[in-house]
Amino acid sequence: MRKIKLAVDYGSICGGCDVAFIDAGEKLIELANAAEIVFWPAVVDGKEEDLRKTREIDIGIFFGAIRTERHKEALEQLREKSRILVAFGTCACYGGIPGLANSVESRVLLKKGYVATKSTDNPDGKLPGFEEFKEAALRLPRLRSLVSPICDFVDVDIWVPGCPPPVESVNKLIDVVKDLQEDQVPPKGLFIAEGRSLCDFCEREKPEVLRIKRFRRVHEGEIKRDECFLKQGIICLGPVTRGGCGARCIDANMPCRGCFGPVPNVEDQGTRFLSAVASALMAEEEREVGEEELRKLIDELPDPLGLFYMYSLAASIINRRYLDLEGD
Amino acid sequence: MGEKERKIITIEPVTRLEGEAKINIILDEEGNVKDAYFQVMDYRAFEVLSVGRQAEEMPRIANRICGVCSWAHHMAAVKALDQLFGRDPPPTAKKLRELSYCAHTIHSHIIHFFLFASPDLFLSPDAEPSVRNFIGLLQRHPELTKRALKWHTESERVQEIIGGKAVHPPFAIPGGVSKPLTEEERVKVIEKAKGLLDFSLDSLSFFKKNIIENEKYRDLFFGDLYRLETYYMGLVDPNNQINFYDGKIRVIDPEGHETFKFDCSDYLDYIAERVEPWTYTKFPYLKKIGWKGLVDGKGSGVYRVNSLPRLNVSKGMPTPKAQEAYEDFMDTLGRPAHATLAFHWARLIEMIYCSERMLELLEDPEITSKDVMNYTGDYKGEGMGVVEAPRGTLIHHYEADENGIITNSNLIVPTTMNNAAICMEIRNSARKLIRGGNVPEGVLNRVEMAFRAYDPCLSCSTHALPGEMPLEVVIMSEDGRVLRRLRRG
Repeated sequence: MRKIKLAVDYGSICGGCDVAFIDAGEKLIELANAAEIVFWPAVVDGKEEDLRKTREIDIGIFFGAIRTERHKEALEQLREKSRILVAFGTCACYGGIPGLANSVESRVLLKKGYVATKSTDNPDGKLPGFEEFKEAALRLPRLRSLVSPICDFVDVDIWVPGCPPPVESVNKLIDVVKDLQEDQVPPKGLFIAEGRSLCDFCEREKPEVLRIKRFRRVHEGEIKRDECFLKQGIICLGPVTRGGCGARCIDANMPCRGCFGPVPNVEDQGTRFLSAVASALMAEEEREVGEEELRKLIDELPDPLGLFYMYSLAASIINRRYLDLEGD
Repeated sequence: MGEKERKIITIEPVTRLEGEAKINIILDEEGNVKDAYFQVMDYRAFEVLSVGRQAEEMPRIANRICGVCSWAHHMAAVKALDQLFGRDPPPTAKKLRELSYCAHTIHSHIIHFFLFASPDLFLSPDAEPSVRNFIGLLQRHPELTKRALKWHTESERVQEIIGGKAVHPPFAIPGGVSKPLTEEERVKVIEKAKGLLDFSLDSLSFFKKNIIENEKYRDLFFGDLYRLETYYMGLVDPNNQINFYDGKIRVIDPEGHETFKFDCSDYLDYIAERVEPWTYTKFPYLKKIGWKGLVDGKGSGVYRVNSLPRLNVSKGMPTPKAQEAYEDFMDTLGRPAHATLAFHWARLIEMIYCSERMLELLEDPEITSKDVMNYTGDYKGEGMGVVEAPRGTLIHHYEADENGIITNSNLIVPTTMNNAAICMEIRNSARKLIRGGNVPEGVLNRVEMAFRAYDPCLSCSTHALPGEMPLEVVIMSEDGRVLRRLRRG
């Protein structure tokens, strides 16, 4: 059987997606048998030149978000050569946690990181990425003004969300590679995740109609292990988040923060959640919620941006609007 | 013409890893090494993106700094937040954190030692590059390699059983942890901890037989090529012995004398960080000694962290089998030990310690108590937390407003702490190996070994895992014209 040409390339990554693959254990040997790994920095002795020289790749897998110009070049090269391109992990799919930096423009961000931080000793205020050097080789890739998911630049064929994706998703992706050997091409836009929300897989007792009277934060009091988080007033993104994660956080008695991204047909995870929460606040109430009461509720949730968009700010509608203004 | 003729050697993982880290070696007119730059190529801005967040969410946000050592950031963050919220976690919560964290350290050390460093150690640094990787190791030492994979997975399972997820855990909350350990889970984890101890002991015997008892390797690894005489830093318990989860920060000088010992809360009096515009990684140094540039010795504030430094600052080990291994280590290398490649040896001793410590904690009758959260305390609005990450001392520092919203944060990560040492190590080994413009093929791996000892997970953003880090040396003129290209493989 013919070997499938496979390449993995990176944007801004934490390494968790590589670890997710290693956790596949013996299944990795199946992958090695089915695929010729042309390039994968963490796993094989690949050379960038080999990737440059390879004209066509059957399946290209991209980890990480786009933070620097270099990441964008790497992505575009992989797209150009790959018959099938996979967005692997939440950062590639939605920008992930690094996308939270998008409330600040990159130069401000560098000033904070390299001048204003408490232990920093930088009297001249030098900023990495903004200096020119006599030796051209010393130049650093410049940060782009915002973090982006890869679909902002290229067409994505397969999506594998998760921070990191669970081993079950890795196994399924390896099966996709094996199917390719027999020319079975997966449908375009395939999600290696469930088509329903996390709530459909959560074993906690759920109310018929969700009513929220007040919000609580996770450190503020005991969390019952068998009852819906939202019913307890704890923000949980389960209703608007794709299932397929194995409900690992929920089982550890912690609410969902949305790393699997929005449920199908929802573009903006945070907005959808906001409207769900708003209706839960009003549910079955005879009277309208007064302004003062609303303010109190809002005070109980001081960072809706961070909570509702923890993993998807870079892919959100507000962020795209900002991106247009930036002309980036 | 002089300037124009200066040559630059660029050593880069030929892969996209190059996007994260790169080495440039600059030759003078005689073709000798003038300088070397180790560059980290990405900035992930966690100090900025944490501002505005609800403080209690930070353990689940900060762990995304690194997927290889996510537990270290998880723990450093939650410890800072315990302080910020003024909460002392119940004893069981602290023990569960330490227990899961010991499993994490073992998992991380197994990845580093077996999947990354071992091909150098057990297949010889001069072996054919195409086989000198993890697959080659599997063929040459199948039993050991398969066991390493198995016990890596088992240590991951321990983290999952205790904390829900092995990578990027949701487990720790200011004041405690999200769930207790059941008796059934305890029994499962004990079995795994015993297996991890056996595996760690066997790994050390294998290492000793193949490296220490082999004269050629012993000289290469522990001779002058890779050696710096620096200050060392690590966390110690009240007996001045190693602890990964808690303690005071102890610093010793290159002669082994205690120079400083301080609480994490005072870290700003002791540590400062330089910025160089050619890298996204800063250069921490000992503030009271001062920044003298990239030099070692007692007069320079450069210090090292990670496994060997931890053993150097620790007065013996708190558990019996680790103590035995420690004595043997110090008898062989002297104390403090300065040989950089001894980082690998020290990792194995730490795996033994962590396994023994896990067993101690698992036998503690309190470990299955249901009392794992403290919801009360006097809110302080500021907190610092420290742990020993697998790669060295890690500090998180947060400030928050009266609503518990982060207003300021500062993180000092271990690979950053070792940045100056890594740069020096690369420069020194390059100086010894490159003469008169002559760049022998072997220089690639020899230079690579220098920084591999510190970690493949450079800057918490390169994290190469198994197999090898492919390297390329490009000798070029200043205008970027490639004069010669050497490639391993």
